Amino acid sequence: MSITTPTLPSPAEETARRPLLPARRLLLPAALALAVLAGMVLALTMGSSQIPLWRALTAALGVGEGGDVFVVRELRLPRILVAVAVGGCLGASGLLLQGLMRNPLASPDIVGVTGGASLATVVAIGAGTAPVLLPVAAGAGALLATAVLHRLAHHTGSGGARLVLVGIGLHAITNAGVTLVIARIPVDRLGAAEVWLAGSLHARTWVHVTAVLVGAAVTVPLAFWLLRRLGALELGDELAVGVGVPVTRTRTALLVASALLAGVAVAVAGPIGFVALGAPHIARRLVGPTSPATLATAALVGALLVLAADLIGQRLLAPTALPAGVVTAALGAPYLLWLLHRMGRR
Amino acid sequence: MTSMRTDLTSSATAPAEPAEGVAPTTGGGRVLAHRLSVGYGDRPVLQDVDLALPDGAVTAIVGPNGCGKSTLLRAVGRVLSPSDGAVLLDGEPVHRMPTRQVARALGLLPQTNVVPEQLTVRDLVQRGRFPHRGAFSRWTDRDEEAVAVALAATGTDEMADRLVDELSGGQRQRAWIAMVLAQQTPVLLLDEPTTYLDLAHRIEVLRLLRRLNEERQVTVAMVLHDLDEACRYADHLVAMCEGEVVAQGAPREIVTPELVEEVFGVRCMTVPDPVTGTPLIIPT
Repeated sequence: MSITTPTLPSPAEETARRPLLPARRLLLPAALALAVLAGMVLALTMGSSQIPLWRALTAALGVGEGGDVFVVRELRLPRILVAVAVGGCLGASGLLLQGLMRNPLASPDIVGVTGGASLATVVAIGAGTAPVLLPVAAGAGALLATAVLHRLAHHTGSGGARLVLVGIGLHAITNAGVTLVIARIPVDRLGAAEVWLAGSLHARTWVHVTAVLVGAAVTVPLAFWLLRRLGALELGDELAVGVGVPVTRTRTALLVASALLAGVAVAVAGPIGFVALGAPHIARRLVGPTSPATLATAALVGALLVLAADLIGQRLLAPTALPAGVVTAALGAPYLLWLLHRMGRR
Repeated sequence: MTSMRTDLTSSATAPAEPAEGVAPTTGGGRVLAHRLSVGYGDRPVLQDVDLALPDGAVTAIVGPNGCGKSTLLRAVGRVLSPSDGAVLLDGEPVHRMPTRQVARALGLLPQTNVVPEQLTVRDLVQRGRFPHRGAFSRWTDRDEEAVAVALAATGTDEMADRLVDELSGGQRQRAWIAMVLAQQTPVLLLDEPTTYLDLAHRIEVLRLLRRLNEERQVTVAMVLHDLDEACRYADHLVAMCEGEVVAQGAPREIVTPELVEEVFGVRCMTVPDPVTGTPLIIPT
């Protein structure tokens, strides 16, 4: 028998874990949006040739020297817009999936959703599908992988080790599938498939911009629409029923939204890892529990991460360019290890 | 089987305890279960249960472990679907009503809930407004008032900006109750609201529910483990055994040594509680 005395948190602890002020929940997304905008402008000036800020801005509007206008409007702007949209989709996708599964590791790139999209896209590239249709293939692949994951690992408690293990297995299977398809792909399409697989933003065109923006225009409003339901679902299935959430339908809708967001991103930029994992964590640290501000922040952090990864990839070993996916993997893998370490200690 | 209830009129002497019974009335009630059967897979847990929650009263569902008392509450709260029979809310089967509409009449506090990281008490209580809000609607003055009232009623207003996962067990349970209160439902269903709490916190939670019932005329139905507590804090007792309702009525009328032996298999005598006069169970 033990006597328990109520333990009050020490003042130091209380300060360290003080909840965030509501004002911060509004100001942070606004500040991040400005940061993304600044990053985009900076990216307009950078590349194989430096273009001064003012010239880059006017060139973006189609005014100025023909060479500048071509470089800025046909090479850099599409690439930047794709980076921002892809990062936003990945951040939002991760936030939905982590909240739904109540597991910080349940990110589409860890649990095989991105893998499913990759496999479907490589198959589509191998079959010679037009680039505009690749998001459809990737979305279908992501949905299928999500359905399998949901089927095999649903309802497994809060630890969720099983979910992650099933997801890792799924990821391995889809990777094996990708390798198999690559081995069989016609030689003339091999290059396209391999560049895509590295998670590169190289040579993105307005076709890609259109594809990712159309995808985002459908999925992002859906994500925001589901957010209040997600907030209730996070408190437990029974409680969600109690406050009037149609649980099964909502869970399906959230899975579909998350899979489509990841699928759209993967389709135009390849599997860029760890952004969907890390961006929601950063967002929750910055603005707290699930709310529209958190979703916006996760998307903006994702956009910033992909944009930065692409710039770093272009500059770090210049003139050799690294794909953005390689940069995020180099930064993300240690982060995942640290996260596992921290979760293990709990 | 008739449902009996004791009216709550003279609560001045012992404000947090049920008052002396005045006139037993046959309770209809807004919430009824009619020939309700529920099973997990092939195993039936409830069979042909008839239940009426008397309006404006506190009902406690008691019985041994595995008797189906939580199952009954969860079926009434539409977490479980009946295999046969129905739960009626104002005469309509709840499982066929839009769930959001039910959520404006029935509040449900499950036994185990999940606390997300970084969630403050205020955030939690605000989420109780879900059934009153659309997907994009703005936070209204009515929402704000409902949250303020729920915080004040549960005494959680002083910890509104603290994180839920750093509260003590009793404080946390009060925060959850505040969340269900913000839903502003005339009926509250609570699944073992006192489990895992120590004596002081158990009494704190039960007195709170009692007070909500008396001050706001909230109909309360809860699953309780402790028969003495159920007798003391409930007006209406539903005793269950092996998936069936064995007896229901006012504690001092139905709790007898025979019933306790039938339901719990324990030989005992009952004596009046020296404070409230409700039955106390003394095993012999």
